Amino acid sequence: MSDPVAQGVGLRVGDAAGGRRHSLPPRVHRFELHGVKLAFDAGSGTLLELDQAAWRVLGDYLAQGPEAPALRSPMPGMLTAAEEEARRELDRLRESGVLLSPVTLPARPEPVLKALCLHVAHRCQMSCSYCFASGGDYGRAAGSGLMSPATARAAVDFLLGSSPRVGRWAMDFFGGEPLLNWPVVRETILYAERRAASLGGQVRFTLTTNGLALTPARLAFLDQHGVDLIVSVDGRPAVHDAVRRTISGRPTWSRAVRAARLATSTRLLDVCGGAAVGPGGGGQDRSGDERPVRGARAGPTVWIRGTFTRRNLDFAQDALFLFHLGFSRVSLEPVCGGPPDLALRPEDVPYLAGQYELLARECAANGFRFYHFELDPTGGPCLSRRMAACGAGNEYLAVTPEGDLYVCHQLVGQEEFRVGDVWHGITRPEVGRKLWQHDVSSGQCADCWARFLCGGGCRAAAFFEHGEVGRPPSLECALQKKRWECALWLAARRRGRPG
Amino acid sequence: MRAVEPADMANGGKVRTSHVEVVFSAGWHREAWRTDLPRECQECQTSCQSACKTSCTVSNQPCPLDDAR
Ligand code: SF4
Ligand code: SF4
Repeated sequence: MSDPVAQGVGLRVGDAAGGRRHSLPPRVHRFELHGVKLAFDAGSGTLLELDQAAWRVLGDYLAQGPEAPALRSPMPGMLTAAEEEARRELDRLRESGVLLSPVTLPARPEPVLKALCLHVAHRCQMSCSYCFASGGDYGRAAGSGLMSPATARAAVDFLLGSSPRVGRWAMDFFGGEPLLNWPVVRETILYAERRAASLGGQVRFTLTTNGLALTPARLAFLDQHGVDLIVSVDGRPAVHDAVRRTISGRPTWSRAVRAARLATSTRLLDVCGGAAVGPGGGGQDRSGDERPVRGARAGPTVWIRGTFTRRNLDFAQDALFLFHLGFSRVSLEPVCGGPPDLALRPEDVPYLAGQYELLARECAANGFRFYHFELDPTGGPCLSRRMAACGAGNEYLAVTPEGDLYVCHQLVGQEEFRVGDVWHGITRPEVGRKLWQHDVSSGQCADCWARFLCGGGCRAAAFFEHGEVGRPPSLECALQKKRWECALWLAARRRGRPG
Repeated sequence: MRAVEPADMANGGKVRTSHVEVVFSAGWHREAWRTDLPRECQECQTSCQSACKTSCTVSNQPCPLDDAR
């Protein structure tokens, strides 16, 4: 067997983080959606569609808890003929390892820094009510708020120098509004490309923007350099303009949608329904390509990303509104903290669950791509990655305009999560090490059916809810699990089964 | 009716019997044991490099080895 450490790629095969290496017990989630009965085996990643007999047999079995007798030895005379047949079928699946499957956790490779979120501008033309960046400056209005070219170059050098053998790095231009520092965005892309090429590698770029300063010339440059775009639009005009206004209080919906249309106009893959037409003249048919997003990329992508709050609990209408405008890739994110009139509450969950279900049905019928439903059932990351999705503080860092390093863009400004700067590197490695210890091998996540779909949740959300990073964020967990139920149902539909 | 055989799962193929259909089987319990991760494994996406920027999950992240599998 090859030794990755000897090859110098920074991989170490050892125990899971925290020195543990153990098995997780079987966990099956049985649920019904839009009249379809499904069971998801958390150990093997298997989705089963059940008829009434199998549904009941499996339900009875699971209700008995971990001490239940094996599926193959029920009490005699308890089952109807159909249920007995279903029991035998389920038991064959158990024997083949895809149902009630325990799982031994693999080693997690040592983390390697792969990605930076560059806050090139802690400034914004807008002042959105729910902004976690406090209107773009993260609560610290010192200085110009714009990253200098020298700081941006130092950030590139820090990333590539930290992990020279990785070969594929990622940089996200973020803010505030990154287009307010366009010269630095442009120069940094060119500089990073040159530096990466000299190491035989590549940098993949993303830019998250409110769109107000997107011009055809800037877009042409971003297209040419393969920069993925995330453009913020919240949905219906009234919903968007209620919270997304300029500093002087002017509405922004029209300008944001114009920018989103501009961005999609050069990226044909992201146009659907015929409402928006790319440069080749034709939109894709709604009934067309429904493949999930995979690693292979035909070109730079654009996602329309919005936010929903307590004011638009019927957020499915906003997603559908965006789809019907012609945007085929949409992501809407819940506001789980912040101002009380905007932040979602635990009592909203049942209603929000219904909204996700409605959205899933529309995605199935029309081929829309809602980000959180884009599950790649048999591909995607290996189990060691699935044990911990969040790389904050280890594989991923955020850089402020002044060059300070924080573990994540959401935790910028929280002093305890500042870990160094781009000139001196990591000066507080213990912060990252502590974050890396958390994975799904223990605590609440170990018992969660969604553990390998989720990877343990958002550390920032956990911190803002509990004041510590180790406990799952409860509201986000509830919403995530509903989204995966919908994604699994969609996966079943996309395999050609009637729903 | 056709009984489900373990071999049916080997390629993640779709299996249907009278009462149960295997829609997909990712086989995490089998694939997990890679101990000689190739270099490309360093290229998988991490954290909020994705469209949401609010909460990383692994459910919709790609693996650089997907095309090679
Ligand atoms: S963070 Fe929540 S949804 Fe994710 S694995 Fe943990 S308990 Fe499950
Ligand atoms: S802490 Fe949350 S927002 Fe930050 S990288 Fe991790 S999952 Fe993403």
